[in-house]
Amino acid sequence: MKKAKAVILLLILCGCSMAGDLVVAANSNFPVSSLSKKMIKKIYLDKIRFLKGKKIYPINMSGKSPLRARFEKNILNMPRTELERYWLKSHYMGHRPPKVLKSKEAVALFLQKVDNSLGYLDKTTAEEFGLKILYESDR
Amino acid sequence: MRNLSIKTKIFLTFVLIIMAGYGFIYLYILNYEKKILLEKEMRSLQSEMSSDTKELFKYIEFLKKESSFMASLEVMEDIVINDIDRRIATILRKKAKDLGEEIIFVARDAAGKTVAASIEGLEVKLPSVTGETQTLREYLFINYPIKMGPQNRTVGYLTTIYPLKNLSYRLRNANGIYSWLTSDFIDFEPVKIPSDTIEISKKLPPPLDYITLHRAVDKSIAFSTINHVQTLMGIVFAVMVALTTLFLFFVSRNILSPLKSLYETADYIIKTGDYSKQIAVTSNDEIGRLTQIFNRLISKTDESIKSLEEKSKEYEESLIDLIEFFNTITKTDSAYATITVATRELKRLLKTPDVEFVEYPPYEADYVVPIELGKGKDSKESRGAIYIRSPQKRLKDLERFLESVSKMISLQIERIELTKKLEETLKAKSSFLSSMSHELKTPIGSILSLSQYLMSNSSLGESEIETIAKIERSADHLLKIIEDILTIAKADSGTIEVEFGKHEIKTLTEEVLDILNPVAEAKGLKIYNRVEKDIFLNTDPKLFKMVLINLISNAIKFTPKGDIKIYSEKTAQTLSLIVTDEGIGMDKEDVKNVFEEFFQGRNRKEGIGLGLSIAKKFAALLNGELSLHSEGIGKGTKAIFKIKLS
Repeated sequence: MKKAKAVILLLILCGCSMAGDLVVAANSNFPVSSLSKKMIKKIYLDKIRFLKGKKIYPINMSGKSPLRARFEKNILNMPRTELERYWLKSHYMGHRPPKVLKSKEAVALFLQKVDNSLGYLDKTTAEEFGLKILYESDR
Repeated sequence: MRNLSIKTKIFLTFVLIIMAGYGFIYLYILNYEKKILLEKEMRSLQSEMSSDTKELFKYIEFLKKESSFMASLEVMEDIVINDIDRRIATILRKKAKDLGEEIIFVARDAAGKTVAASIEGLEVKLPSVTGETQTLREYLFINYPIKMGPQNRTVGYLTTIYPLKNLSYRLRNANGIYSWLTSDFIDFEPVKIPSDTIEISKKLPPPLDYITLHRAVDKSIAFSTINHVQTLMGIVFAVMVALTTLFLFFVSRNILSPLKSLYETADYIIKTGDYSKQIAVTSNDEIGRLTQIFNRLISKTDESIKSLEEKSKEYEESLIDLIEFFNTITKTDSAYATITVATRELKRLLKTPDVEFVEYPPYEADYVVPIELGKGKDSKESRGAIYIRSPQKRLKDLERFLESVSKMISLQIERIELTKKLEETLKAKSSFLSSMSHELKTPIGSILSLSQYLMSNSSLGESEIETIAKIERSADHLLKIIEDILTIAKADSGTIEVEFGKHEIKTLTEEVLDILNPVAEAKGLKIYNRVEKDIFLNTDPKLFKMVLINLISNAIKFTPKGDIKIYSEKTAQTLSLIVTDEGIGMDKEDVKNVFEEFFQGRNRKEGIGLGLSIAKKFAALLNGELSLHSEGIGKGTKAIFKIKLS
């Protein structure tokens, strides 16, 4: 229950700070300490699945999320339609898009709890949940 | 049983046979068939029950599949982040709503803490996960691990809570078949079950082994086939009875009614003796033949009766012939006529012309009828014989017949001869009497007239006249006696002429009294005429009056003092004139002899006792008779003149 209250508190605190730096973060157990933009793109397109022998676990956000729009624009550099086409095509080859979580808090909590998972967040939230920042966009 | 008609007997037999057959089948169905049906029903219940059980477990399997699917959903990974987006809760709520039946889904994290549930405020206490399925009293718990991530580790459990009481939704109750569940811990919805059912029950296999499954079938439905058969049998039975009745109707029309007409006709014949009746033959079967034979029997009987009648008629005729024969013989009035008639009649009777009378035998013939007059026991006088040759008609016992004829002829001739002799004697007596009376009357007439002449002659003295008067009285008395004797003689010889005519009785009586009243009055007696008026009688008035005069004068004579009454009594056949007096009466012994000629009772009076004798003879000539009655001496006399009315 304490955790749930903390989550709600965090939601209130960070609800307004939409703008901020987009970071890709993971918990401290993540096998690498930083990732390049290119690597991130490959991980999110399911082209890289293992890092240092560990299966990695990218987390996406729901389609309406502004963070996801930013992430797709800045890091994947692909419009939504192209992405959809890509996953449709890859589906036949056994590739699935990354797991989607709804809120950034859920993402942050998930990253915190689940080892080898990575996701994009605003910097403030990532720092709040004590996540290791693997990539920070330079804007 | 003895008095029942054949119809009833056949009917009862048929009904008994049908009833026996039906009774057997009925009992068979009731006992054996019912048992079989019951067994079959039990087997069917068993199999239905196992299918029910399967149905229940299939549902549980379905729930498990659903749970497993849910647990495998990616969203369930949100358990690790305490479902902060409430995505699990949403999905659980939606699924629970879909499945209904108060199913609750609960997502628990690895530590057992509830993260999300399909309802708010879960009241059910969750047991810690021990296996895929768990039961706790009224709930079934299905647990599936929620696995996640690269390590595929268990991050929590999805638990499906199923209220077991809703299992009864899986059971169908319809068409008289009922399934229901019972348990000590669960309040299953009660099922209304009819009282008369076949029921089986069984414990469900684990994990539901504290629940008992029941299955029952309505007996009326289970045995509906038997009931159908019974109804059918009832209908068939009724039809059979109806057919039997119809058959009996046919039988009675074709067999019994001819029989009935047979015995009715026999009865009719016995009662009336009418053998001309015949029965119509309606068929060619045994009954028809019986009828034919019966008809033949009747006509045969009729024939024999008729021939018997004819024979008896013949006998009768021959008897009449014989009687006539004897009759004609007895009517003959001379020996010659007798023999002639006998010969003629014998010719006729024996149908032979060869019958001949021969005065002096011998003469050769087949039969001889001798005519012999017996003059005494030893001596017989032969008058010849009738000889008969070759008689055509054979009478039974001809010899005896001829013997009788012989006796008959002989007796007849004897009788004729005797009668002749008698008649001659009587004639002689009568003529003697009448001529003698005439002869006597003439001198008496002279005596009377001469003595009267002398008495009228006044020259004679008193004593002479007295003497002559005595002579006159004696002569008169003598004349009266002679006249009476003459009358008797006349009556005996039948020379009194009777002239019948219609006369009124009272008038005749009056005329008599006109004569007798002076005598009675002289004696101081009174005579009352009480004879009814307007009675007419066919009689001879002279003789009638003479009878009455006799009776009344007798009454006057024997009544010193008192009254004399004359009255009449009429019946359908007779008329009686009765004369009663209050006179001296008669001794009972005298009453017997009063009508004898010359009888005089103990009270002698004048007369010679011929009066009543003559009166009786006259009465006889008038188809009447006289009788005298007296209670004894001094008690009066009653004289009755009874005349037959014809």
